[in-house]
Amino acid sequence: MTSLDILLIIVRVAFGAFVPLCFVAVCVWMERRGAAFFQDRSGPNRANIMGFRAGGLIQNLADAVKLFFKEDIIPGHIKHKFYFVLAPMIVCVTALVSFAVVPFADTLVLGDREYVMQAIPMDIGILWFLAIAGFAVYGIILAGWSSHNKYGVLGGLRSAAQVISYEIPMGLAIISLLVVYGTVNLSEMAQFQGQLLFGFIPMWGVLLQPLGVIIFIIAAFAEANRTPFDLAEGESEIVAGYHVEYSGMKFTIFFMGEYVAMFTSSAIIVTLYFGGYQIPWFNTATLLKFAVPVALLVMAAVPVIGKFVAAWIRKNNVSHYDRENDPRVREANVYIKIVWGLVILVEAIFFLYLVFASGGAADHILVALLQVCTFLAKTTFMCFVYVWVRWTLPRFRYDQLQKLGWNILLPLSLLNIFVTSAIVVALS
Amino acid sequence: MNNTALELIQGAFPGAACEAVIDSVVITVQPAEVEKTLSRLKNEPSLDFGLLLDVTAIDYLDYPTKQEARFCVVYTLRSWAKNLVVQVRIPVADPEVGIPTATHLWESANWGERETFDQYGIHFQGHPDLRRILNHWQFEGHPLRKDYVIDHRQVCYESDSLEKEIKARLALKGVDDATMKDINTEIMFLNIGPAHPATHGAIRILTALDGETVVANVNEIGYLHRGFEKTAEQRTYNQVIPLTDRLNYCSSMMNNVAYAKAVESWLGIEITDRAKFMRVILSEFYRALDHLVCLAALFVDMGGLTNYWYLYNEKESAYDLISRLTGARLTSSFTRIGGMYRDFYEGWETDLENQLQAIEKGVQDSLGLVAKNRIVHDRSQGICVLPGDRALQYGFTGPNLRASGVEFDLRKDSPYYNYDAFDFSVPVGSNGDLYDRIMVRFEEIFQSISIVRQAMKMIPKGPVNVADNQVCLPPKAEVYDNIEGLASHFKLVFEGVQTPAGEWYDSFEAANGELGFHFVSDGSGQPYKCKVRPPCFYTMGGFHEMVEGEMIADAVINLSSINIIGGELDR
Repeated sequence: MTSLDILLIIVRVAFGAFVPLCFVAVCVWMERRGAAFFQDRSGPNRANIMGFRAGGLIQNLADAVKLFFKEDIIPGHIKHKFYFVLAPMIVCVTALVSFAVVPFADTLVLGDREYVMQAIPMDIGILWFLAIAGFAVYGIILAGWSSHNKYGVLGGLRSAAQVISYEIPMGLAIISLLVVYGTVNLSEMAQFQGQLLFGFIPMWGVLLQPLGVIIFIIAAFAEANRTPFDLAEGESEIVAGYHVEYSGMKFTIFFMGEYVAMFTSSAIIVTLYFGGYQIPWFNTATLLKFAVPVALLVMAAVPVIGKFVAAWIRKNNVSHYDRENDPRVREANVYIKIVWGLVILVEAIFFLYLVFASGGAADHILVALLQVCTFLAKTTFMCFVYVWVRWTLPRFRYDQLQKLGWNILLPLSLLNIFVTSAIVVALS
Repeated sequence: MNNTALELIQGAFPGAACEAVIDSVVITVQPAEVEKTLSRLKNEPSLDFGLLLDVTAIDYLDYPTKQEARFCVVYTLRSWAKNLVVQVRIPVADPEVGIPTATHLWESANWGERETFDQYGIHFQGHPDLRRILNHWQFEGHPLRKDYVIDHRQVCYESDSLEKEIKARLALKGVDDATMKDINTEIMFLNIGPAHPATHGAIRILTALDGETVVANVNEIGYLHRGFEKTAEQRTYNQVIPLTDRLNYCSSMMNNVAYAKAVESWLGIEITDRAKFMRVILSEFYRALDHLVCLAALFVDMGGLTNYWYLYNEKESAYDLISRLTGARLTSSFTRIGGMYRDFYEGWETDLENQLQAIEKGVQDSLGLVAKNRIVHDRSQGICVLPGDRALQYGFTGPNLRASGVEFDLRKDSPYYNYDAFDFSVPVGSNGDLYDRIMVRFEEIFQSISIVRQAMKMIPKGPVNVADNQVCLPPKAEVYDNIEGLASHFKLVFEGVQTPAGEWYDSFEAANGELGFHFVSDGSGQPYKCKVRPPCFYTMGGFHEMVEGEMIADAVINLSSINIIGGELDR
């Protein structure tokens, strides 16, 4: 094992572990600001460090500090303290670990060695996700049961019923996908989607499986326990459901688990149906072939993007009333400088790449980085869809949710398997 | 109108003493005659008093003129189709013995009589569940009796388990331990409230659950009981107005108007035209605001939080207008006996029109999310149904009754303040389910806005207070320069508006339904008795029938759909 091998293992595991955690902050921020955007209000925009609010991101930091310093309470009536403490960990860890099989870039070829860009390079791919994600509900059930609280038990029960009724359509939607892709390996699925249909349409899962994608996304929403499927929490009905007795850090872990699960299932949706890390019309081979023109294109695009971002900050980061020496304008000036600094940094890197390192390993690394960015951009957008749906729809009722799962999604997904198989057989 | 009503009742009950008071007919019967009289009033097609509005009692202990008994129970009945109000007075010789109950005739008598028992200690023979309702179960004495000293405080600690009541309710539903054993399950008892996000205040909803289905339900109210009626007896008529703010605090102005209207109707004062239009404009504006709050909270309970902001943002920005007008955001206290606190400020038309447009936009935005949303339809259509006849039985009024298909609106059926001059329609539901209650409120917002706009065009110039120094404070110039003005100011402030001795009931179409005031005056400037007929007290009395058989999630939405406001419910 060379030192390069070790380095890449560290990089990949670090990516798999820290990116979802960092995205908790991004998702929470997006949730709050997104909610505010949909609801005609401002959202968190006061918490700051030395006047820097980072568009509300500092609020997350403040909340994290608050939650860290809260007393760790285990209510006296709880008999099974071990399970009570274990439950949030199960929720968070399973969400985190299920991300491990998601490829965030195409297989990296360095010299004569190939590195599968997943935290855990495994062939079972989607099966791992199904197994681990299904396990998360044990955390919720355990939390509801060990809380020794009627609301908690109701939340746990709702969650159990919900997961059972939605795992099946989800699994069936994946089966028809397997029929199309002919593999369970997520990397291979993403590679498959780099092809072109009829020579000009990216062969994304969403085009090959239009029904499957709807079923899968609905089921994924249900698995992530978010509105319109947030029955297990049911704020206004069963107070907070399974985490009614949790506070402080244990609640935080539930909370983080929810957002990690949202990120992970976004990543899975993107990988299965929206081309994963693939940039439309530019699959890995094309990118490698045209590495230099692509780099030039990026170099041209980055300042333009920087200009738009700077203008956007300039326009929005101001006080909405007359203020002498508006501190927000000063704040914006710093942000704009940072944006231009980043632009210059990116330009410098690309410049160095073009001058010294184009061709060979550097091309591969460049392509991998572009694909990581694409993957994260797609996943972020999918997370936004989660937020969007949450703040648009009210929640289902317990029995209506079951009806949707069993009476509508299940037959539809079976039909989908039948139609897909028939077409695949007919075409082959 | 009154004479025909009087003739009708007198004709039906030739032996009883009848008199016409304002819009109602008062008939006095002896306890032995009660059952017959009430059942005839309810069941005879020519009378058809299907709506029992209120039950209360009067304690004549300190009353200047001698009455035939210390206590007198009053049933207030309404025939909504014929637009008649009858008050049946029954002298009670011995409160321990009491009078026969009317619960077999009207379901609303159940809570009404419980309240009378609680406040006055009058027994109702044959009442199925005669226990305290507003006061704590450990409370001793009966606070509205005149010999209960107002500052006699009691501290009560023990909560009521309600075990007996919920078990009785379960037995009534045919669920007992044996059946539970047969199907190998147990009933789970779940307290929703008193502190629960869905109660929007403090109400205790005790449910017996089979899975998530509510099998039986018993409710405990009174957490916000602060003795409005007892306090009102210690104050002059104008001093009660700030207390009425706290009844339905989502539409405080309507309570002010209803209260002032009730007092003025007995005084026989015709308020100025401008004051009438002001009251209409503000009442309808507040009706829209009240419905906004109700719907906003309802959609929060349904999980659609965005609707809350679209609706409540406008309520919130309306507070700016209201505070500019009244000086307070929530507690308006804007009416006075004989008029208003003051006229509109300059430029109110623009502010109000902008606010109306903002409300329309907010409501349209929310309707865009809701009107064609399948989840909303599934959650509301055919859920928590209460048909019209049952709603009348329980004494429902206002939007809740109209959602059940009964087209009764005091503004149309018994118009006051020139309501007959406005062009508006009364939305009526067809099924009495959650959906109807939601949509009736949405439509009423638009109708109210239309009334406000019409009234803004029609409002005349002129004074807002009647020029009667016995009722309204004289202008400051007169007070400072003129001994008569000073004397009337002094007398009005210290003694209050002098009302002739007597008893009367007057009603008003508030946002939640019929808000009635039953007054007894001993001729002084303070009410001898002031009983509120709060619409949501009786609505809450029918809550269990709506939710039994539905699920927890439905019960929670149902509570917001009938718009229970603690201040008015518990007084």
